[in-house]
Amino acid sequence: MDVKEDLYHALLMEYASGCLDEGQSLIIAAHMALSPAARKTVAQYESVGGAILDDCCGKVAMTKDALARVLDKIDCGDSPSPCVQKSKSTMAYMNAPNCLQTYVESATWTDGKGGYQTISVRTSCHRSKARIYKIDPDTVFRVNTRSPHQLTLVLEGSFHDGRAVYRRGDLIVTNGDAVLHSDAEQGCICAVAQPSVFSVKRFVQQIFIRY
Amino acid sequence: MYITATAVKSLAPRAPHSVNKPMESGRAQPKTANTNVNGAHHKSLLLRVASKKDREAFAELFEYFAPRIKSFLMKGGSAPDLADELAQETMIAVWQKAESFNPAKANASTWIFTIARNKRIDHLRRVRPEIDPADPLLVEDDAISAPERMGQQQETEAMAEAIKGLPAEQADLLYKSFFEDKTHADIAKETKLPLGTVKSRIRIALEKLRADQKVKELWT
Repeated sequence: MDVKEDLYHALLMEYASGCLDEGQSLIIAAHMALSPAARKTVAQYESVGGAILDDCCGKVAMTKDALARVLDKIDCGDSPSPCVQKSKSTMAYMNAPNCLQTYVESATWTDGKGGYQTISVRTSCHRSKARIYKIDPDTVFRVNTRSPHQLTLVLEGSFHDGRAVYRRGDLIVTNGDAVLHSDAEQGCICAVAQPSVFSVKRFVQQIFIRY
Repeated sequence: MYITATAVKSLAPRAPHSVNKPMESGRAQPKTANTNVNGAHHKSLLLRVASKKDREAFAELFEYFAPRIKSFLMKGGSAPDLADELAQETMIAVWQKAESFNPAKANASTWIFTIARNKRIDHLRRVRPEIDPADPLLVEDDAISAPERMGQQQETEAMAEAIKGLPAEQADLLYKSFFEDKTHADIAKETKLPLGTVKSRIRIALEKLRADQKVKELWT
């Protein structure tokens, strides 16, 4: 297992434990939608949490009337706060998993400089942002991230890094400079997130360089 | 380079809930036979809640899991009153969502853990995007095999035993990940270990869990 695979499993585990930020969680969730293997791995990591809860984490006595109060609430039809389901947006790119589409804030692609277009993804967490990129065919782009790592999920087409070809559903975790080459015919569409406080817009201006 | 367990102890005092030392009065002891019975029993209780809205079954689940959930939430930093409240909310959600419990996909404790985890996330006003099970673009799972189905209820027990066999410094990192609501970067800061060491140590712990014969049989 190399460092990148280490990072990959660390991210899946942070997702399973619930401490991964929203932007990265979004990419992981979209990856899981496209990868049964990833879903299985996250389920395995959740089972670690279940095992610790069940057998290893100890217990703290509940207040004496807790069960009675819970049963009262159940009888009253009390329900926990409903999850706010985001509505599916009208997205310029409709081939993304639902969990990603609900986050898209623009219906059209915005032209970037140098062989790519973007759609912004609005997260409620300011610390982590995500974007979807459409990279032109046969484009070389450089990832030069200042954050600890970057997640890139291929949604369509493919790209390669000289070692492997990444296709729909593949998640690449980079933790330093990387040079990626989009498919010569199809180009690629990918979703990108990183745990960073600085602007993704500024970031993309720095990282995507067309040769 | 890995730091020895002794060195780690000096850098990062052991969490009070270390696996290798029973620290809390209510902590379950490693009794595989009993926990095996528990796993199957909790599954049947949940199924009774799901199919018949059986209050006795629910009360039994509450008695077992609510104190554990409260402990879990307090380890994540919640005050006792709040942890009590959130544990109650978790158990209400268990009642309401019991029909969606699928014993072929997860055992009872894992399923309840995910509900408690999500309660904690909701309380912290964080958002955790999840896959939409009805998504037409969802790439289907392979059919769950019969051995895998059978294995779900044994998974918790095998996993718990395997975790107890981990070196303390690795087990503690798993605890911090799952129960103290800390990212690996936060853990690195707290323990003053390099982030790469934290990730490697967790990865090694997970590899050891995978290599455990019983877990291996259930995970493959």
